[in-house]
Amino acid sequence: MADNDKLSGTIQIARADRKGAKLVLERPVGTLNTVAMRLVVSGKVAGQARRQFHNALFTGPETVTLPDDFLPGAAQGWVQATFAVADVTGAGATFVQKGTLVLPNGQKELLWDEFNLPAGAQADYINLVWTVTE
Amino acid sequence: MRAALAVVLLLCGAAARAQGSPDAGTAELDFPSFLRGGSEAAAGLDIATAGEIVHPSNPAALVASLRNAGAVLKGGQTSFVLQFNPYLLTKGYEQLYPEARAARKQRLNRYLQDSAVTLALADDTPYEGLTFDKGRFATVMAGASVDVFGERSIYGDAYSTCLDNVLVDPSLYELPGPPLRDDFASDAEFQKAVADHPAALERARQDGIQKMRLGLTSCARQVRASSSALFVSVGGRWVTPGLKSQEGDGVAIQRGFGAATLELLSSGDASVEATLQLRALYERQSPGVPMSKWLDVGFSVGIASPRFLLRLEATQSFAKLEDTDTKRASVVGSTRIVLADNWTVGIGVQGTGEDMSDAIGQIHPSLTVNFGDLPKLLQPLPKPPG
Repeated sequence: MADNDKLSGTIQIARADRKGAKLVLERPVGTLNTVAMRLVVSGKVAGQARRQFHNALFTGPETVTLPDDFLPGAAQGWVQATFAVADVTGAGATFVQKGTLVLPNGQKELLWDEFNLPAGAQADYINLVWTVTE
Repeated sequence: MRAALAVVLLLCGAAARAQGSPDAGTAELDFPSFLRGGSEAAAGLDIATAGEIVHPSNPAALVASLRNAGAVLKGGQTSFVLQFNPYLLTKGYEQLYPEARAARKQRLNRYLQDSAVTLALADDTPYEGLTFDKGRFATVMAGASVDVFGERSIYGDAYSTCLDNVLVDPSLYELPGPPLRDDFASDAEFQKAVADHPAALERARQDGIQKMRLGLTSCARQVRASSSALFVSVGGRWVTPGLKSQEGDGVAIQRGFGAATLELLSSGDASVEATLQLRALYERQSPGVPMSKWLDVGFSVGIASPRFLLRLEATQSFAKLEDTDTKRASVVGSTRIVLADNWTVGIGVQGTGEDMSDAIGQIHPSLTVNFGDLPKLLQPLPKPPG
């Protein structure tokens, strides 16, 4: 992974402002070589981890509205956007995947992965993690 | 032809740059085309021109393959071979998998997805028994092959369904989230959890990568074992003036072929493959003489493992066209072993004659060294924010 990734970030949000949060995931940009990506959003809510599976392969852009109980009721928690990336051609891929956690009050935090899958490596992950504090 | 050469040169440049990049040595390259054995148009296609067709149904098909086949003994001409999938090169490089699947509804896209183009440059001429001053002539070769059925494609229904099943596995997504201070009784415990987190994340990542790799390989096997493929190929080679050409040297076609190749058997586990081929061939035996034209049939059996390939091939002419007067037969046996990284060594025997016993009598050994690399399609990345 390149140095100018931003794979994780911390965002301060008052508990009262956490409802209606969205994850805005952009379409990847770069040399894709027909990789298959599947998105799973996970989070830790009040001490309990939970996951939200997305059925179809990712084609982006996609906005995922997080359930109201998804962001922690506790002071601290996290939300994670995980893409499993499968390189069916074996040719490798080099692209940027961006995602933003957006709150209804206008707060937002952009994260991105400058993703580089070498030829022949076949598979890897993109994992963007927002830590939420009070 | 000039355009073809331009593509070759362009991709050579890309390959050279890719070799210099830091991760070039870390790619787990296992010579997709010639070691998997699958989806190659075989059975007597011209060895240098299109003997090793890359096809997307191959689990590790290429955007482009760069190959330098060096003939140490009488294995043929030293050649520089480039193979690529025209769809990936023109459209697929900017698409995600579901987009390539959707594009497949158009027949032209489907054929582009399931085809391979081979371009090759060699020194000297392919004329047997004739020697010319070094550098006087060069040979340009080109071939294209398309899988007509398309059932084995990585973009086909069977592979796609299998891929969905691989990626839907919930255990792929057990990447641990960051430790939170509130979950720990003391600062010390929290600090330890923070320190342990990167290793735990990396373990989960590696486990997932391994599962996906196994899944992709298994999908490719399943699809190959449950379907057959019919390749239609065309190609030719031209003798052209070399770097030290003499006055009056021109371009002349030396061979042309059209072929239909049916893969009869392709067992997933053993990677055994048998192919039957029908070809029309045009060949000039020596400079200046008219081209002979004939039809032949070929049969080929190959066994492939990740590091080893054995192939036996035989062809026999059955119909002479126009004023062609001789019959042809050929036998080829070849093995390839991966030495290290991008290098393989091949030992083979080949013989040609008027009939099969003549061909076997004419057998001579060959030793070839091959280098393969995957040129990258270079595209500048957008500057990320921040």
